[in-house]
Amino acid sequence: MADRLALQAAPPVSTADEKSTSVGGVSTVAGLRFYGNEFVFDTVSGMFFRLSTTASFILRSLVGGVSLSDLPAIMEQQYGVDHATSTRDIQLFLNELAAIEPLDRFVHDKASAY
Amino acid sequence: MTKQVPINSRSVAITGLHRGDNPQPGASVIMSLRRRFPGLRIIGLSYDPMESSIYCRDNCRLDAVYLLPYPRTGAKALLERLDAILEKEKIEFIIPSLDSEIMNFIEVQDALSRRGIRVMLPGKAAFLRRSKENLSMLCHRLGIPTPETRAAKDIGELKKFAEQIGYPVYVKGKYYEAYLVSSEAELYSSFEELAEMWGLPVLVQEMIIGEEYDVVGLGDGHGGTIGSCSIRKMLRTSAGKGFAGVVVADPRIDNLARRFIRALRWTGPFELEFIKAPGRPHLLFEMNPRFPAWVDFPSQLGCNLPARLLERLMGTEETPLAHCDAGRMFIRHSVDVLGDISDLAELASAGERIGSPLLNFSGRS
Repeated sequence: MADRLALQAAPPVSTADEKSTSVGGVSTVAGLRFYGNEFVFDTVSGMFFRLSTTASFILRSLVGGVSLSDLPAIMEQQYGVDHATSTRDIQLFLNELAAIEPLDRFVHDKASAY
Repeated sequence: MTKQVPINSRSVAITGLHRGDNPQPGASVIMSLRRRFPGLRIIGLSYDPMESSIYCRDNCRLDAVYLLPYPRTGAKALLERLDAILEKEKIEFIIPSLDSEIMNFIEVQDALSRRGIRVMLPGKAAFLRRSKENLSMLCHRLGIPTPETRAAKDIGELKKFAEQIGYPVYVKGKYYEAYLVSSEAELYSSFEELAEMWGLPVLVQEMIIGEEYDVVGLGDGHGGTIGSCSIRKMLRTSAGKGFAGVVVADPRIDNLARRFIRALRWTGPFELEFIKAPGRPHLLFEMNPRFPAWVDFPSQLGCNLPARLLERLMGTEETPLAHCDAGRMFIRHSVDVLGDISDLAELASAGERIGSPLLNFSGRS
């Protein structure tokens, strides 16, 4: 399913008090600025990443507050895949995210819920 | 009410005028000042007739250029040369922009003041506390993370420190230049080269692989920071010079910078350089006592620190500094500046050039 994030390394940080904003098709959530569905810029670390639309969907959901337990069902609805596929793809994506320091903050907060 | 002097009759001198593969900050400072004060008289103080800004026109132009003796000749030689220049040229302010000359300017600061020239520089103690050889000790005292660094006064010490830290290590000059060294043999040649060029001590530092973050700012001398801008270097040359950068909004970097400047009660421009390796905090590995070569980038975003410095020195109303939004970026673009050998000849023989470069190339194609 999802292509993998193409990536560089940088630091984790708490940005829980930031609000979600959307200006001119660019949305910013928790320090991440999404440009369309294939490019995200981390305003904290200054790192940027290209990602697939599916990876973008999962990342947006996570930073937008969707719980990991709800994510497979949302994936199934969005992409018409079965539960096993969505669960596996989410887990693979999270594994990759956890290895990327600037973005691992979005995984560590939620890992216990999965 | 104080009567304000028209900006066209004010004059400021700038150093650090070469913008090659290791760009000096002077051209960026000039462009920032011209951005706010187009009619300001800007005098170049140069160490070499081949410094590139000497030949610039437009927003980087110099109204006059004078050669200075090399910084290693000391403060007395600097003052004598400035006295000679002052017989021909009014200079009210100086913004020194090279690490190697700052101490000379600190030493002649009072003498300059008596001649009506104002500078915005740190005290000698603050300057020495952040020097490359003392930075590690200062950081440990302040609880600010820093790479492991030792200062060696001879090759024996350097060898011992390199072995303690573990190869590969960076061997760094007192003011400039660093070599990545993987063996004892390389260590010897690096030491000799750096000691001869920049003097002792020579530094040895652990190698950290990671992203580089820089902060440019202006200290108010009371522990506060008048303004600052933080970037991640997006492109680095083989010498580690940033040729592209993007503004970041990282409260951890801001906090480290604030603490460091507060502890030093720093006066004037500064650049803090951090490196961030995965799993480690931001490590402060250098503090430069001047504006960096990219200072015109925040100026273009409305955070014009050189102009703010000049406003402070002039005692005029201070223009608010804009916030630099995360995501704004710059990429350095090299250009060929036209010149004529007559300009070089004038400067090389007379040690000065009054007025703009001689040839006017406009209209040619």
